[in-house]
Amino acid sequence: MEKLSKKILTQIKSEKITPIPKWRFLLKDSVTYFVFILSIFLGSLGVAITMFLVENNDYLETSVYDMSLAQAMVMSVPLLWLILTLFFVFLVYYNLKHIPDGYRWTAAKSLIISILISLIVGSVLNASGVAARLNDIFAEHIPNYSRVADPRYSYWMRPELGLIAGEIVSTEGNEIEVKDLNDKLWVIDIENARIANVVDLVAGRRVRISGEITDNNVFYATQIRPWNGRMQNLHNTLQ
Amino acid sequence: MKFSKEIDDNILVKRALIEPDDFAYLIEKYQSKLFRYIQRTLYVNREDVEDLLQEVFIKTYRNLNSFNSKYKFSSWIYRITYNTCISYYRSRQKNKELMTVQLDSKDVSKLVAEEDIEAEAIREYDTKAVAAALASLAENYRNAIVLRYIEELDYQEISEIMQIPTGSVGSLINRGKAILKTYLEDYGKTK
Repeated sequence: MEKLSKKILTQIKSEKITPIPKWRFLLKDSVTYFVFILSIFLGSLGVAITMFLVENNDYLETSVYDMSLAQAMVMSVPLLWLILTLFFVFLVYYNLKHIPDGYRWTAAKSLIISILISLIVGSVLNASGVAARLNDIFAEHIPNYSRVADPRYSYWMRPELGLIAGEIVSTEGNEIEVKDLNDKLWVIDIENARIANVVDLVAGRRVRISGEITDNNVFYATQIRPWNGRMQNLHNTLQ
Repeated sequence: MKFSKEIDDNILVKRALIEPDDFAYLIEKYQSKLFRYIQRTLYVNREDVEDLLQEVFIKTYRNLNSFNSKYKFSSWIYRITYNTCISYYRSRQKNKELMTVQLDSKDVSKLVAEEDIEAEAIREYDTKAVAAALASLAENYRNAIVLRYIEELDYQEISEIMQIPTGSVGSLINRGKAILKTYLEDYGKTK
């Protein structure tokens, strides 16, 4: 055994083994912390956008049309963001276990910490309007984002059930022209429609319209509301 | 520098980083302990233990800069040894090699004394039976028990070595002890 130190020192010298520089360990730790913080941001972002989409959902008011409240609630779940959020929260948990000293927490404690961090930061991001802005940015820059991520899209793309949403293209007297979420043009008769106070019937404004189809491409409106729900209007007002 | 086992490990680490020959002090301080630990965890012959030990010390030397002096050096080097043993154990498991551990009568009396197994007969168990019982445990139970009762480390140190919460160390030890107790009692009945 006494020879072991000599043997090891000989190996160290003959193979020119040197200690790995400190900066490489510091870099590794920094990357681990960075990935951990990034996963917290992503987890929080997931929570924030999920909250935003749920808050802006109109399942309570629209559930009366063709489905039960429970069905409408299920339909209102932003599934894509919920799955992404669960994945990101798992990333927070995984990275928490891999930061130096992260092993000290039990799996349950780490999971609770990850969920709490994501919920707290996510609530702040949502309350401060960041979630709404990011959702808009995604909708603008990612093709089909809203169609896939926002459950309201599938809800409001059912003219046969009296539900249309889209952007006002032009207005003329008691009629407005609306391009729906599938880019189909509709002539909307608004003569007897109840129009929400916050809705300006001007080109470019996005609206939700309830009513019924009277002819091909012609829709009789009974109610017109802004596309952005109450919560988003509140965000816009606060900003 | 004249070697003394009293010299603080942090100083020895700093010296080894400046002068590679001084790494010999750390090797000499830990080689016997780690040799016994490897022997008690894995069934390997003396040459294999020495090879593993050499691998451990080379890894230790290469990673000296990652040692954080707020922790005990002994826990850190045990962790490297533990990980090396786990890798070795797993590679052997892949090859389906039979596993047992090496214990001497002193180890057995330590383990049995700590086992709190009431049967009087347990104290008469031979070394082979206890070693076989220990070898029958899953690797995490065996390591926790060896570190606690044979290496006589505290929960905090075992937590740092195995990189698990101290609560989990306690659970592993308790469950491992229960399995060991059942095994030894069954052995006692068949004897």
